[in-house]
Amino acid sequence: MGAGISDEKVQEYLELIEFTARHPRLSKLVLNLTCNIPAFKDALPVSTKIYMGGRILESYRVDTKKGEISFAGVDRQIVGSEFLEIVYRNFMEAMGKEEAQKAMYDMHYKAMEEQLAELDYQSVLPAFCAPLFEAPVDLGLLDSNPALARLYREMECMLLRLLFNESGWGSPAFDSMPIPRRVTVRNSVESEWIRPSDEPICYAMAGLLAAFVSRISGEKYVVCETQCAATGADECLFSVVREK
Amino acid sequence: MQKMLPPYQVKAALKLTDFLDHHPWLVQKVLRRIALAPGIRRFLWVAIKGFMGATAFDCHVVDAANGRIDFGGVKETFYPTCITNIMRDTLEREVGKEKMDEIIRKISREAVYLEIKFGVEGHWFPKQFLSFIGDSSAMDVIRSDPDLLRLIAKGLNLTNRFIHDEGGYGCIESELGKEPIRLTITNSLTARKVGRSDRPTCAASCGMMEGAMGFMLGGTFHAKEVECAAMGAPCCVFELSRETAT
Repeated sequence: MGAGISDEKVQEYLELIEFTARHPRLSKLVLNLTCNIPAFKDALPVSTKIYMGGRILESYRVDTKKGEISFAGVDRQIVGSEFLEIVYRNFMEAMGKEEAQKAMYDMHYKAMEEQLAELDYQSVLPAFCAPLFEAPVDLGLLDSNPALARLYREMECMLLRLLFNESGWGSPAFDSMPIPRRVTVRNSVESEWIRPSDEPICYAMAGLLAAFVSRISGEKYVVCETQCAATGADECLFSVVREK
Repeated sequence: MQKMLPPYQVKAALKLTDFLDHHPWLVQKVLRRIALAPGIRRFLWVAIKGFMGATAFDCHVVDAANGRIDFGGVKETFYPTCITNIMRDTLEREVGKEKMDEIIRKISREAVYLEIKFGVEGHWFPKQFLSFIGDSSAMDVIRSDPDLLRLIAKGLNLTNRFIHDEGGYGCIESELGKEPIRLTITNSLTARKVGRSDRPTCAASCGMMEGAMGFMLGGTFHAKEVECAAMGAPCCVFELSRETAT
């Protein structure tokens, strides 16, 4: 992995990211207009358009005749956020609390696992760095190339942003990248709908995060919520452990 | 029943929407841009933006920093459609096929009931167009007035397009004029995910219809899937009727 990625391209893309972070208003007003020129619209990857001030929703393929929506090759559906509370409550009634919690975790693990397997990384990330995410991370390569490691972190943040923040799940942050030991989530959608609670409740979020980290690392990880906003904490905290 | 729209307002609204239907160029090239202009978009009702040519995706507000998506007062979450089969498999394994359909129908009914409720209480439609909400006698009044029926059908079609078609669930059409209400879904999400089946598969769609109608017209509705694409029909057909107390 990583062989053949030119340092020049890595540097140029990092400069674009830094420039747009320094000049958000310029990005929104000028670069975003450039993104909407038809020739660029189709050619640029989603991440570049987002850095240039674009909206993720403009990158969806919406077929109203068929009633289908998809993002980067993954068919998607939209639910009201209350859906999670309703699923959890009905699962508890049908199979009991512990089984319901396990089912919420496993279902969302599988959903994220399939989503990441289907995702067209070439349309989300710049073509030269998409291959980095099509295989497990090569920590040795990132250790030996700090610029590439920085770019990898940025791209991983972008994936998190697209799959969590811009999909209405809340805002996760990893304590270290590429593989975290702890994840903090602000506004976890589960904790906002299944509250108040005496115990951590974000099983779906834990499953999603576990599948994400497992995909990045190429090894199976387990995620467990240790602090939850539904119990009154400011934000949700998850520990990430490699399965033995 | 509660006061419906006065006839002159119904006629005016119909004339306006008919005019827009006949001028798609004006809608797409001019009105849509006005509806989405930064200073205007936040003040317009979602339905008004829809009649001006906006899509549901135009009307979603994504708060990327906080991980929230808002659609006219309804908080939304995006899923990959594989969740449909994953949830079916989980439930079938845990509770069996019969109970699986029942639970999926109940989940969908409750979810859509709340989604419509939040939308109606939020920013979907101007309040004066919603005087019939929750009124169990409204359907008879609506059916007795062809203009009102046509206007309500237009509003319903727009709502269907926004939350069903652009929600990724297939393309839905409804006929409100007859009892039972007949609905068809082309390319139903469940049918296309499940594949071939020897029984109707769209319990989720049944629940969605029951939830939506239950909130809008009050009381309890029952949807029956009479044809299913998973069984080889060209599209899924549903009959929706009010459940009578036994």
